[in-house]
Amino acid sequence: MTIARMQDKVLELIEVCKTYKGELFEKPFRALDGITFELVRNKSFGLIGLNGAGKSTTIKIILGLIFPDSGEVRVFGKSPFEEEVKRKLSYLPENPNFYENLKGYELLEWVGRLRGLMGKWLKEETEKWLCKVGLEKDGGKLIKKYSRGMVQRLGLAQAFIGNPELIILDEPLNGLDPLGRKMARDLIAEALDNGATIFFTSHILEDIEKICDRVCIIHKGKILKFVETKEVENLEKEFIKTLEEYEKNA
Amino acid sequence: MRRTLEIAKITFKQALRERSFYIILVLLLLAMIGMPVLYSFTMFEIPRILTGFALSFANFVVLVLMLFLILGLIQTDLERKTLQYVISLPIKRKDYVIGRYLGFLAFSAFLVYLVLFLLFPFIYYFSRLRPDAPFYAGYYFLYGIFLLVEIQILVAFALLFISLTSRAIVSMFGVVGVYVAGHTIDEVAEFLRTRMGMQMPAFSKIVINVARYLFPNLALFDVKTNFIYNVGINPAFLIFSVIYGILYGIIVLGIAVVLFERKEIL
Repeated sequence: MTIARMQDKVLELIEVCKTYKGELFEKPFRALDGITFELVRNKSFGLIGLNGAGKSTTIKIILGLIFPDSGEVRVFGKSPFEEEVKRKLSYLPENPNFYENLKGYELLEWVGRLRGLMGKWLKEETEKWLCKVGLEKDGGKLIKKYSRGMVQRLGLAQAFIGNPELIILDEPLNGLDPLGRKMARDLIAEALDNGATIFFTSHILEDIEKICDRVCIIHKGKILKFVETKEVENLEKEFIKTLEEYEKNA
Repeated sequence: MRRTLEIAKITFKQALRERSFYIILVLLLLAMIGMPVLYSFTMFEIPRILTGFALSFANFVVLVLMLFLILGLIQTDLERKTLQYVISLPIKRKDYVIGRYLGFLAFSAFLVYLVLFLLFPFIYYFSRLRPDAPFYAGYYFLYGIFLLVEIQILVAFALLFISLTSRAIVSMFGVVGVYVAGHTIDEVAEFLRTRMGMQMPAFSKIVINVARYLFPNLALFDVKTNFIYNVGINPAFLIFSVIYGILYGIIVLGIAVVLFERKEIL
């Protein structure tokens, strides 16, 4: 493997396993069973699977929120716990709950400051991203007064502010109207044009098909297949076929 | 340090916009209205009665602050999974714990001294109208320090419980338990020395003695009566109490930081 190729790897998971111990009287639950994949710079990667397939667990491990039982996780070639790694990374959670007592622009400024923006630059970036997600008139409102769609728009803005290199989006189109969905897709495309790498999960395979270069089908904590979106006619059919084949052979 | 302060600043801002803060402000307004009423109903020792009222009110405010505002914000972090998002930001885990601690402490200091300063003119004015007992202004303001030392221990425990559990209710009951135990354990230990106490089973005595060293002795900070009547005040003991409280809080916070580093944020 060449050095250039190694530097291109933004994210690498090698044989990652995770079992949740479960509450009292509950059986342990194996959420991830030897997951291995890599994500190359400036590509968009989709992780698809049914509920409970292991998508959220994978994201939590990448973000360093939970620890794998075995296996290795490298983000920009380093441990996900390192501050340097976190500075290059952003995350939009599924159904985000931000600090509701803050105003929209305060949240963006706070995140911007944590990502190293300062002074006039920070103000400009905050205004720019509020405009881009269509919240220019609502930036001064408390987040608790936002509708679900507005919170999602704010979530997208905070994910993109400060130009992070790896953007992890968990169901980013949830709660958005058709115009909002188009806006989100445009923002993702723009981030890719600017050199960012996108890690994306969604239940809506049509969105994945439009946004991602490469898709990973995950089921019961195992990776079943990698799909290049350009090479399949219908991702939904491919997804269902893959799951059915797995269940037949299991 | 910059990132820790960012967390502290956002904590202060959040607290300032919490509904329970506005409820405390309304209660403070009622307390201010209550001062002249109390004055008109009181026959003797006006300065002592009013000081007692103000310090008890400050004590009550600290309890409301801890139970509703601080634990409320911590509950939101845990139950609405905001913690997951915050920890994914470019901060270290210890920045979150120490930042929250500093933010809550700064807000508590702001609130305690807001109460003491706003009630002070009433005590000062009425004490001059009927100076039938001394008013110790220095002790009045010094009491705020004791309240803050107590609250920083409780905040450190709240953060320790966050590190141990993902259930906000456990954290809430834990802090209430520490508060109750901290205020009563000394009396229970005293009881052990009485004739009745000596007859207690050996196991109970061991449990009480272990608890005595495990829980903070919060009764040390209850110096209200001493300050109002200027009795039993030993400067060395007061300084010891404050240092003990600060060290205790820092040790608990240190344990919280270590445990939080290993916590799975589900």
